Parts: sequence; C-alpha cells; structure tokens
Amino acid sequence: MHNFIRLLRLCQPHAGAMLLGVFLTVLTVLANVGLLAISGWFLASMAAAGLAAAQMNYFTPAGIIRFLAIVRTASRYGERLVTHNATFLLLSEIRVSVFATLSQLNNQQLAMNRSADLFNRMQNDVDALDKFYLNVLLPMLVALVCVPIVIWIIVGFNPQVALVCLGALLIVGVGLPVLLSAKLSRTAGQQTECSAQLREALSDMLTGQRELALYQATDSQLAKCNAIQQNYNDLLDKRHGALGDSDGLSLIVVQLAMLGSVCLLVPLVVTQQIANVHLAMLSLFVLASFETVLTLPNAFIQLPVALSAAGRIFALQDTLTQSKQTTQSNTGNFVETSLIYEQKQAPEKTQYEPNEHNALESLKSMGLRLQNVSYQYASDPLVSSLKHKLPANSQHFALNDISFEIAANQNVALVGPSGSGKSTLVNLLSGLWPEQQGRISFEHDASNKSNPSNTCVINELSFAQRVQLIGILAQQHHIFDGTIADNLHYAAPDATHEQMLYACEQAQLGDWVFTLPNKLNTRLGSAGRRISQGQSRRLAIAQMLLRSPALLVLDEPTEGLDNHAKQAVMDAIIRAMRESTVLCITHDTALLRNMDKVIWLENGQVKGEGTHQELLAKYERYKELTTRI
Amino acid sequence: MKKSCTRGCKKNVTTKARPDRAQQMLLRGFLKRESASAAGLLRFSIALGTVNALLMIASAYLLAQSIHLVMFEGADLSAVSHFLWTLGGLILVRGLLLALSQRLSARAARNIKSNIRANLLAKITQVGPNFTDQKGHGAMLNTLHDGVEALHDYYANYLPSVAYSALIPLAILVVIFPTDWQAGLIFLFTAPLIPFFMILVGHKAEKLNQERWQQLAMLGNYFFDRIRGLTQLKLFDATKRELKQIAKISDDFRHATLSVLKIAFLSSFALEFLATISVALVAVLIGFRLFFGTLDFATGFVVLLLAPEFYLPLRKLGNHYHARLEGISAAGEMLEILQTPGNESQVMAEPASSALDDTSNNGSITVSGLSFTYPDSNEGIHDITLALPATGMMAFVGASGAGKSTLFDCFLGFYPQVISCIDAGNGPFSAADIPKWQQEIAWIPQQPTLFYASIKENIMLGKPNATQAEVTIAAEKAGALAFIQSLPDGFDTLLGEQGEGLSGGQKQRIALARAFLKDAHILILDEPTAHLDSATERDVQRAINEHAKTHLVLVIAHRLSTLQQADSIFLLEAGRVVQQGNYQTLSQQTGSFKQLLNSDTQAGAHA
Repeated sequence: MHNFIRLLRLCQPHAGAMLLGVFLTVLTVLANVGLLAISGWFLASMAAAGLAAAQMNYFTPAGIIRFLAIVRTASRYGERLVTHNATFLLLSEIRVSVFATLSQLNNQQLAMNRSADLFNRMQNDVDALDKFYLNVLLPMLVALVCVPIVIWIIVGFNPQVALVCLGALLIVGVGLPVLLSAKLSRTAGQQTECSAQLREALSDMLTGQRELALYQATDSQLAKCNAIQQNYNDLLDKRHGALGDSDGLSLIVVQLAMLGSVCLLVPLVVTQQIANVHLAMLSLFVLASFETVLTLPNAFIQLPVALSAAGRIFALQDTLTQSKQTTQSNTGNFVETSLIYEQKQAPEKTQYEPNEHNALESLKSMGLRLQNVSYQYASDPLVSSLKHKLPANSQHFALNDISFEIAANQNVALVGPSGSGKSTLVNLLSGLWPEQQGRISFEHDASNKSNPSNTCVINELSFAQRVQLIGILAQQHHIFDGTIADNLHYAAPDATHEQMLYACEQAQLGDWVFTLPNKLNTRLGSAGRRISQGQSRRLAIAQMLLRSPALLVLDEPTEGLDNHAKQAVMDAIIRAMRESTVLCITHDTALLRNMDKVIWLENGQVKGEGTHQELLAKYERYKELTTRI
Repeated sequence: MKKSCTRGCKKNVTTKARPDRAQQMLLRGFLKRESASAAGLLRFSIALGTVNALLMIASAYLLAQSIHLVMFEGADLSAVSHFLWTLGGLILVRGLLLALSQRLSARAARNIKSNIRANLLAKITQVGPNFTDQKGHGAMLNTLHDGVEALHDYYANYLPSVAYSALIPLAILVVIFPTDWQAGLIFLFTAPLIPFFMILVGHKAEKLNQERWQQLAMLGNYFFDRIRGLTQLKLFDATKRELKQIAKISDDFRHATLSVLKIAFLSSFALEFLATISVALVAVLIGFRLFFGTLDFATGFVVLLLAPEFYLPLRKLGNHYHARLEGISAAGEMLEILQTPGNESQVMAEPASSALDDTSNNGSITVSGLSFTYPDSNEGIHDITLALPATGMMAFVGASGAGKSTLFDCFLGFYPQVISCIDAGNGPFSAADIPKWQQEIAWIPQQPTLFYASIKENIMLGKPNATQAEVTIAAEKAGALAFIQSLPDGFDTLLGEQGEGLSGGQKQRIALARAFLKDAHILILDEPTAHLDSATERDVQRAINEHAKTHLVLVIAHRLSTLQQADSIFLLEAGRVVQQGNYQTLSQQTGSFKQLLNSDTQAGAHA
C-alpha cells in the first residue's frame, strides 16, 4: 500500500493527462453500455408500438443510437492517444528519477562492478513501472467511476437487479482477479526462478559445448535442460490453467447475472410493475455493464508485479536518502565522500572557489602523493556480493598503509598480481569509492612540501573538480550506443570537430575514422557498428586526450588485446603520456620499459619501487611477474 | 577462440528489418510444420472454442425467445422456465468449454515449444561449437530461451483466433440467414469491409505502428545503455548532462510518437467504427421492421444479440497481431539455425575401435600434415607435423593469431574433418573415434566454463563416479582446496552465472581440479596469464610439472618459467611450426624464438 501511494505520487505531475485519459475511457465504456441498452429498448418499443399500431417518436432513439456509436468510436480513438501520451509522460518521469537515483549512489552502494544482474533486474522493473498507468491505474479508476454510474441507473429501474449486478461485477472485477493474482504470484516466483535456471542451463550448454564434448557430458547436460524445461512447463501449465479457469468462471458469472436479472424481472413484467420494454433493455444493460470491469483482471494480475518493481526501485531511493542524512549528521566522517555529488562544506569550498580556475590550472603540472592509505572491505550488506571474493578472515586490508609519490609529469607503472590492491587504488582515486584511511593529495612540487598552498588534498575537492583533474581509463570502459562524436562529447562536451579529429589521430584512430563513410558520425554500440577491443581502447584514449587531465590513470590498457591492436594502443598511450602525470597499471613489458618508475604492489603493500630494469635485476619474483610471452 | 559476449547482452532488442512477404510465407510455413507435433491438441482446442460459439448462438435464441414470450405473449416465469433452465445449463457448459479450450491451446503451445527447443539443441550439438562461436553465444541463447518462449502467444492465441475469425462469423451467418436474410446481408457485406479497411488503412498504419515499437525499443536501449555505462558517465562527470538528455529524448520521443500514433490508431479506429456502426445500423433497421410488423421481436432481438459477437473474433484477431509478428521474427532465427548444414560425419555410427590401446604402442602420438583454415578467412594452420612422446611437457608459443588455439581445437577433435591427421599408434583416427579419443584428454581452456551447479558437481564432471576423497585430492592438487573449504558451503557451494562470485584464479583452479580428477593420458591447457596470485601460481605450476612426469601435457605458454621447464617447445608463426626444441637449444639459436624472448627479456638482460 505504501509503495502504491509512492507510485501515485510519482504520477502526480501528469495527473491532468492521466485524468483526461480516464474521462475518455469512461465515456467510451458508458457509450457502449448505453448503445446496447438503448438498442434493446428501441427494438422492444418499436415492436410494441408496431403491435399496438401506436405512433412513436423513433427519430430520437435512432438518433441517439447513431450518436452513441459515433461517440464511442471517437472517444475510443481519443482515449488511446491520451492514455499513450500519459504513459510516455510517466515513462520519462520514472526513467529520469531512476537515473538520478543511480547516478547519485556511489559504486560501492550499488556493488555495480560485480553485478550485471542488477541491470537486467532494473530493466524489468522499469518496464513494469512504465505500464503502471495503462495496465493498472487506468482500469481501476475507470471501474471506480463507471460501476457506481451503472449501478445507480439500474437501481432506478429495480434495486434487486442492481444488487445482483453489483455482486456479479464485484466477483468478476475484484473477487476472481484477486484470487487469481494470489494464485499466480505464488507460482510467479518459482516461474522466474525456473526460467532463470533454464537460461543458465542453456547458456552452459552453449558456452561449455567443447568441455561437455570432451567430458562426454553433452547428453547429461541435454537431459538437465530437458528436466528444467519440464519443470518450467509444469509451472506454465499451472499458470495458463488458472487463467483459463478464471476466464471460464467469469463467463459463467456474467451470464448467470443476466439470467438472474431476467428471472427477477419476469414476474414484475407479468404483474406489470415495470414496462415490458424494460425487460429487453435491462437484460442487455446488465450484460453490457460488465464492460466496465473487463480490464480489471489484468490490472489485478499486474498490480503485484508493479508494486514489487516499485519496491525495489524505491529501496534504492531510500538508500540515497539515508546516506544523505548520515552525511548531514556526521560531517567530517568518511561517509561524506560516499555521496559523490554532495557539495563540500563552505570553508573548504571557498579555498578554491574565488579563483577556482587558476587553482585548477596550476594543478595541471602537479604530482600525486599517497600517505598511509589503507582500505578495508566492509561487510556491508550492499557489498555482500563481494564476500565470496574475500578470504575467510574479514579483517582483510585491500590496501595496507600504502605511501608513494609521483612527481609532476612523471610516468609511473603499478605492477602486482591479482588481488594485490591495484584496482582498489584506482577506485579510490576515481572517487567512486569512499576513502577510509590516509591521505591522497596533489603536490605542486615534491621538494617544497612545507608550503601548504601547493598541496591539494583530493578528498577536499568537489567531485566535478576531481573528475576534471583525474582521468581514469577503467578496465570496463563503456562505449555508448551513439556516434563516435557522441562518445567523445561525453568526455569533453565543448570539443570542436577539429579537436575531436585531432584527438582521434593522436589516439591512432585517425586512419580508421577516415575510412568510415560517416566519419565521426558513425554509430557505435549495440545499435550501430561493432568495434574491436583495440578500437574501443583507443577511443577511450582519445576521450582522455580531449580532457587532458592532470593525472591520467590507466587500468591495464593493453590487457586482452592481440599483438597488432596492442601496438596501436601502446603508441597512443605513449603519446598521451607526454602531456600528463601518469599512473598505469600494466604487466606489459613494452609499456613498463617506457615508464619513469614502477611501483610493485603485493598483498596491498608496496613491495618495491624503481625502474623496470632495477626491479628486474633485483627481484626474481618481479621478473616472473612481468615476463609474459 | 574469439571471446564473445555470453550473458551480458541478454536484453539487446533486435531492431531487424521485417521479413518481406516471401520470407513471411516461408516462416509461417515453418511455424506450421513445427506445430504438427501438437496439431491434434490445437485442433481439439479450436473445436471446443467453436462449439462454445455455437452454444452462444443457441443461448441467444433461448434468451430472445424467453423475453419475447414474456413481453408480447404474456407468458409468466413458469411458462419460460424450461428455456431459462436450459439457458443456465448452457452457460455452465460454455464456461467449462472456454476454460478447457484455453487450457488445451496453452498445452499445445508448450508442447510445440519444447519440441522446437529440443530440435534446436540437437542441431546445435550436431553442428559443433564453432557454429555457436560464429553466431555469438548471446544471440543463440536468446533464440533458445526467449525466442522459443515468444512462440507461445503465436500458437496459443494467434493461431486459434485466426480460426475463430473465420469459423464464428460463418456460423452466425449460417443461422442468421434462414431466420432473417436481410440482417444476414448486412453482416455479409460489412464483415469483409473490416479486413478490407484494415488492409487499406492498416498497411501504412501497421508499418508506422511497427516503427513505433522499434523506436520504443531504441529508447529503452538508449536508457539502459546509459545505465550500464553509469560508472563511465560518473568518471566524465556527465551524469547531470545525461539526465537532461534522457528527459529530452523521452520528450522528443513522446512528441514524435504521438504524431505517428494519430495515424497508427486509425486502423483500429476504422475497425471499431465499422463494427459499432454496423451494430447500430442493424439495430435501427430492425427497429423499423419491427415497427412496421415485418419481423417478430424474437428474431430482431437475436440479431441484436449476435451482432456484436459477429464482429468480436475479427476485433480479437487485431489484438493478437503483435503475437504473429513476434512469432515470425523469432522463427527467422530458428530456421537459420535448423537449416545449417550439419557435420553428418560427426554422427557416430558405431563405438570406436580401441584406438588408444596402450598395449599396441608406447603411447606416443603423431600429427602429420594437419591443415585447417576457417571457412571465411585465411587464418588457420598449415601442414603441421608433430611427434609427441607419451609423457612430458610440450609448450606451444607464438603471437596471438599464430594458430595455437586452432591447433589445439583440431587436436581436441572439435574439427572432425581433420581428425585423420592424428594417429595414436593404431593408424589414423576416423570421426567415429573422436569420443574415445576425447576420453583420453583433459582440457582447460583459457576461460573455462563453470556450470550452474555445485563446486563438487563441477569438479566431478571429470569423473562422474568419483568419491569425495578423490575430489578433495584433485582440488588440493589444483590449489583449490583451501579456498573451497573457506566457503560457508564448501564443496556444495552453488555456482551462479559463469561462477559468479569466484575470482578468475579460483575458476581456473576448479577447472584444473576437474582436469586432474579425470586423470586422462593427455592434459591440454591454455596457461592462465594474470588470474593467479603469486603463492597459488607456484603451487599450481608445481602440480602441473609433477603431472607432466607421468602424463603428456600440452600447454599454450605465456610464462618464461613454463618455457624453461618444458621438455619441448614448438614455436608457431602464421599457422606453421617454425622452430622446435628445448629452451636451451632454442634460446641459443638465432631465429624467431630468440627474437620473441628478447622482446620480453632484453630489459632484464641489459640490466
């Protein structure tokens, strides 16, 4: 109920359009009911008048019939347009609100890196909410308006018939659907689960085709798929059975209500308590009145789906509100940074704001300094998906008291086996994860640490400033569904055409772009051209070049590329590195050789520091780590 | 093999062009053929639905007659009670028939779906993994799962409603004509007008409607693409801009779509208009004939009752039109899979001859003149000849694209057409020997598949009848025991999507345990590059070295240490073995191997 009200509140801005839709639908339904009832009355009256050879004003009813027929058709057309308009308005409202929520939650709260599942769930949830108005709210409101009108009219003729009709309307419109929806939602969970299992089994069948063949297990996997499908079919049968039964029962209730009304009315006609023509009219009226509840069953089936979808999306919003409140109550605590858009406190802000531009400019040639940085994964339920990855002891430090310095315009590599804390470090620098302990700062001149104006603790920068200073090429770099120019504009909204072309050339993409018929306006992504990993990496580098950040962080930029692509990406990186201070996670010897310094991490601690050659000479383990063929 | 997106792209909405008329015919033919397995059930369901309609007509007569008698013949309740009782009975039977007919059509649809899915799976198994790679796992999975499910509405709703839209109006006409031919004529003339107008208006409107669906899908794609790339947007500080963009695009879409809908809805407008006006026209005409006494009320009332029912099936058919389009587009992908020529040779005729009897030879294997190129590229391997001993570690090295994976795939028997190049001592293999041959091999690809099952079941794939003790030993050998035991459910931990929740190294070690458990003569592995942490890496390396003393180990090498420990190294270049020997020999010789080595260690050498 709570979620229902919150959903209604979400609809509020478009109440006008939605109510107009309700009005037109009511008009359509009532016109149809009227059409049938008046036709019945007209036929009966004409027959009666004909038999009695009496005169009758047949022009008015005939006119009304034609009029209602036109009203019905026209309002139906209008209703469809208006309700679709309202649906689109709601769609936009919901998507904007979901996106706003997601964009303000930090990545740790979303556990986003781990769970592709989140997106699939979200997609289903948003889809379910998009149709909330059309499938749930509209039918309910229409029934709420129409049923009293219909019943009120019947009461005018005969209260008993009205009572029978009301009872039947409630059974068909509410009773049966609620029972059905309860029954369906019991199996719906199992059905989703079973469908997911089937998808898993089929997917295993496809991805593991070679291994299954090798282990002679193809047949047993086929049998497994069949068994799950069998289960799934049984659940589907239950569902369709329930739907069929409900349709059958509805038909019986509707027709019996009509039959009951006739039985009630016949004695009255015989005793001439009501006019005989009313019998024909009322029996048709009762029959037609069920159109007012025709779409209710579907609404009741969709309601729990929409509500649980709403529940999940509102839960995300609540997480956001909660963390905002926590931020307000504990300023100074590290939670502060968990909200990336939270504006910094006024005093800190004024430090940069008066000549923010200058301050940022002067940071351009600054180095990076980490002092005693530690990070520990919390056992927060929201990051519970991380739990598996952690060793049994939960006191594990992903980063343990790390300190190092990168001088201005120095190119530094970060080397370490998986689990050594490299990615955690990138996440901390990105600001998408909250800092816990230690201090990360930009230093203007390493030799002059005493001068505080040359130091800028990145924690005190606003997120916008931080993003401007630190460019991160993440491992899961996302190329958006859009043109090359669109993608470049995400990085630099004001970039001109020439700047973009120049950046592409610098990133070794120039040749490729010029072979494309639409050049920078070529569509990429799922709806456009597929691009190779090497091209996508270089496009990311072009994005970085357009931003020209003070610190460039590259997370395994050449990983997963074939030799040819690797060479091109490497050229692009080396070009990009000339301009900025660079921190690059890599095991690529060619890149390592180009670095001024290598920092070697192991188990969250700095194991060694020096040039690639120095480390190679000094540590056998380092040699093993970096030698890949 | 090329890595392809397997699960992430589940929701990619296909915005394929609509099949043209000829293709539609073809696909409808296919869908019809596939329905053969449940044709009886489907026909029975339609028969029940039609009987239901006939009973509906009978009820209309009974009701009209009763009301007529009461209104104009002065009958009381008892005089019409036999009509009303019959009517009540008919109502109950109709409810029953409706429920039954719907149940049956749903059952028919699910039988057909299961059948199609089984056929697809059989075909996919038959044509081999390479086909799946070409098509893309994501797309295949969509066809197998959602695609097949999308056929439900086609079979359960669309096909019956096609039948009803012909049968029910016909039945009504047949009974109306003898009763009142004039009303019959109105029906007869207006009924074809509906499809006619539908085609006239609908042809364009349907196209527009179709475009609207595609646009809606594209809008959804846009939105979810931005959510997937949310981290990226945050890193560009572009979320606020994007928020405005999403609002703007949604609004633009709304405006654009509404102007399209104005036309698209015309088709249903025409349909509604004709149906409603026809009913109104029938009512008015009958009214006047009643007034002039040329018709009795019972007949007039029956016609009025049946008029809406006459148009109802046609209107319902319009509602199921979308199911038809979805069914046809899903069928397109299925037909493509089912029509792929299969590797008939892979169908096993008889159990293999004992190709690998240890008694007959010393266990050495020869590969001679093996060439394989991919159908649509020049890449592949050429004239490979190898003599492999019964035990020892053989390392294969070379740039990516040099043909290492292809060679391994051929060796593993995934390309039956070249299996005759391999000889394990009893003469060249034939395709029928492949299963037997594969039993002799344990294999770990670079990205091993972990199945949706418990860790134990995943390991036991290597030896289905293994004891817990054997599983534990294998896991220990693979360096996996410690982390498995640290999990709350230990060996019974259920693995989700591709081992979701496990790190790359952990997956690799489970696969290794699986391979150790199989304890086949030959172990083939693609050495993991960056997945393992330092301690485990050493343990695993040691276990593999130990294994190589008693087994043949073929490894695609990425590490210097592996090359140093290999008994023999094969260097591949452009699909050919260009150098062969042990590390000592090769690193002395001038040649590609030395170059390869130097490019990676020269820094160390100079230090």
